[in-house]
Amino acid sequence: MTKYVVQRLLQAIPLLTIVTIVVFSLSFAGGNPFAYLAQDPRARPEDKFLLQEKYGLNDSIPVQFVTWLIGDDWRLRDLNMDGVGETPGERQGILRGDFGESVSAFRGKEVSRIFAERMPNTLILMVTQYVVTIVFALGIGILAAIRQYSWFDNMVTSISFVLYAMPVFLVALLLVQVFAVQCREVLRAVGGDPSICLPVQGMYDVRGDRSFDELLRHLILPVVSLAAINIAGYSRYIRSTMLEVINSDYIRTARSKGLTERRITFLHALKNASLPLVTIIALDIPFLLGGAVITETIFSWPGMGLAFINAVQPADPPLLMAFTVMTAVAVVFFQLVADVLYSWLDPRIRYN
Amino acid sequence: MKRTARFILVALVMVLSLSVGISATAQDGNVLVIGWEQEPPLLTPRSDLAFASLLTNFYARDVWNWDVNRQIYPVMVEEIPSPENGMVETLENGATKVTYKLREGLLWSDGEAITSADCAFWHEVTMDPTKGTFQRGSYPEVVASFDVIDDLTFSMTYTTPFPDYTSQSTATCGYPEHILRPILEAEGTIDNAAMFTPDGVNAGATVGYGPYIATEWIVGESIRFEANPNWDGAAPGFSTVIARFILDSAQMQNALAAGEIDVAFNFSDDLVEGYQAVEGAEVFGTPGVFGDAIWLNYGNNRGPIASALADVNVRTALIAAIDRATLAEQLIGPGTGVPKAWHPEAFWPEDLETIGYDVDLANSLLDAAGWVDSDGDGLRDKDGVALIIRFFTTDRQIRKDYQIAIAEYWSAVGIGSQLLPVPAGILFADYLERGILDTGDFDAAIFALSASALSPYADAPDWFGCDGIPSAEDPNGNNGWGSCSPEFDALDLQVGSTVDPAERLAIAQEAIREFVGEQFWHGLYLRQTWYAINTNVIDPATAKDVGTLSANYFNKIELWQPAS
Repeated sequence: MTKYVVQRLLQAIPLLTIVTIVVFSLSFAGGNPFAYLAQDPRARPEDKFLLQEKYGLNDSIPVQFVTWLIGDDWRLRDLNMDGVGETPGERQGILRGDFGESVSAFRGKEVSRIFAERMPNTLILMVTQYVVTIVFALGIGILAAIRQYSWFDNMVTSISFVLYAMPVFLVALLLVQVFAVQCREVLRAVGGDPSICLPVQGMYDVRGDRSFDELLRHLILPVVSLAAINIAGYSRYIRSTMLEVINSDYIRTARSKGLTERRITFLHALKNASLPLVTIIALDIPFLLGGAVITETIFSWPGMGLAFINAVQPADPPLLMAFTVMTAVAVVFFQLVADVLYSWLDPRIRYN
Repeated sequence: MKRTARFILVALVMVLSLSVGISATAQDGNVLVIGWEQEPPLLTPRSDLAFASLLTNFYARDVWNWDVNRQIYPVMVEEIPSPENGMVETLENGATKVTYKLREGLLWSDGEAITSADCAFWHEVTMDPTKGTFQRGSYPEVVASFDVIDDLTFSMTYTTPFPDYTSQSTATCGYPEHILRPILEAEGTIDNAAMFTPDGVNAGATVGYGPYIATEWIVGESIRFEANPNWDGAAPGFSTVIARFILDSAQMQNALAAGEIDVAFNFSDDLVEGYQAVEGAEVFGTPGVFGDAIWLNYGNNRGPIASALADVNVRTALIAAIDRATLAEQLIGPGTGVPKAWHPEAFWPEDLETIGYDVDLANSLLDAAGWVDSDGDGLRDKDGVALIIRFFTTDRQIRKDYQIAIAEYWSAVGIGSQLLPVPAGILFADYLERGILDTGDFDAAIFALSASALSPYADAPDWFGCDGIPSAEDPNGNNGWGSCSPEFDALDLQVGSTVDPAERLAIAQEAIREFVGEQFWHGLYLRQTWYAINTNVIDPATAKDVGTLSANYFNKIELWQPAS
């Protein structure tokens, strides 16, 4: 097993190298982050030059890539515009743990700091929605399997297909309309208290006290938007794996031994049906870190997804690169974790 | 069946308990929340980051400002300098000298006195690009000297006659030397000054002269401004103003409807109706300065139809084929006008003629120029070259909509087009980065280039002058469309240096005629700046005198009063 893990880690090096080179090249597809200055007659060429020099954008793309890797503290930058470098660079490069500084979206801010500020918000949203997804998907999937072709199974199947086909922005905006906007209008019309309606956006009410209650209220709509679609997909998956297991010989044997249905379902069937779920969950975890781009944007949730959107236009190469590297490393790592867990959970699997 | 029902019941109870059981927070009526569509990374002064410069109106006012009717009014100075009050002089060499007199008793928000030294400090920073990277326009060229006369008086002398001293290259006094000087001395630049950062705001380090002080910046969420006790202007009607960042335009409207924000602004024309439908909302617009135009590359074109675009009749035909008035009505909104010239309307000659929608004229001009459909494929051609326009714009939706509509109009008169929407970073990249515009690698493009709303002086030789065409030898120009009219260049220079208002207007009108006659710039629309306010929170009668310039929205925010 140790040999297998080491092999996988070594294989990850060329993979990550290729990913970084490709993404670095693509991050310039949006053009120069300071190109918009060309539209402003107040901007002078020297201002643009200095901004670009400060962030290393006057260098060729290969040099910028090397700088991103190993930093620029080994060279001098020309910040007094005399044609000769005189100011030592300050970046250390990603190989020394320096993700760089945001160029446009959060100008001048360390990327690692942006991540540190945003990651907790994203985890609050994504972990909550994931827990809700797993709990509801398991419940619905198991019930649908053990009551195959019942009214419940048919209803869940229909709803799942509808939800699975809906884009998250549509689900989110529909929920906002019903539970935040229309809810208030209806309650006002009937003389009710509109404050019980859900908030439209944000993590907290900016007029409020930033309490845990407030956070919970603000979590409901984004969590439901994300979870509704995920539950639809996951519950179908759990239903099918459960059906496969509960129709197998050893379940029939368990029944013939006189075990209760509850014991058969939750102890024998669910345990084995959950095995493939491990892979899916492990593969999903890296994307939890990256946040939900659309949902965070719609709900102004100050997480990683919203930061990513801000980094795309105008292009913010250091931020985009950091996102990509973080996601790529997480994917590689958690895939490895999934493989290891799989062999641990299922003795039939051995990596040689 | 029973168990299934129990399961559904438990799930419903869980969801309902979350949504209903948690009490909502009470709202403070004296807090104004403004929806802000983009969070700036810094509060840098005179920033290239437009949404940062808008926020400065809350905490950093300057020597004077302009109201919604474009009338100037004093803020930090006792009076607006003018020849009549003797504060504007013409020196023997013809240069203009302007004297500023600050009002007595002005204080920074930290209680320090504001003096001429603060204004001199900003002059020092503006003259040297290495001390701060922000837009300085032509200030370093046109300002010859800055002299402090006493604590409250200073003068600026320009290199030439300078009639635009109130609107361009003016003195700036809105930033405190006692905070920024130590940073400049330590770091050589004020770019990294803490007072402009979220950390600085949260540490109480942001100091300015305005009705509010920035007190809290929650990154990704909001910036909070509290009333400034050292502000000597009108006491703000709202003790707290919060700029709440909401990126999604649909959610901005929902947030107003739900009462989470009290003001939304700068939304597009197609959303006006939706905002009007919000209960309690009042929507109003102010004439804007932003508008897109179609630019034809006639002097820097090395493409296959360069010769066609070099012919003013073909350029005229291209525009005559488009019903710009109808497009503005349909794509932007009812009542939207089509600007006749790049310059502000106040300076247009009354008899300024521009090209209207005239398909017959377009066809006859193209026929006369020899561009005819010789092979019956529906496209005009000449000497074996088909008349196909390489038509660029950015990825903004309204521009892409215009692009498609214009292509249809052109198609109707036998002109083909390749529609090429590209990221702004590609279109506007400079010559050395092979930017589309700068290299002249286009035939037509839709984009906006803002003119000063206050002056007829284009002051943009890099954009319109013969010397501004970018090349390997001189890559800094921005005149990628190759406009070159020595007559316009000469007239514009005269506009920039003619002091007598009547004489200046006459020259400006001549310059505008010359500009329009080149037929390379054709306005598509001039959009209004829209505001929607919650009248349950704000007294609308107090809120409408907003600015009309690019950076002075909310320049009288302190006068906004809560609804009674």
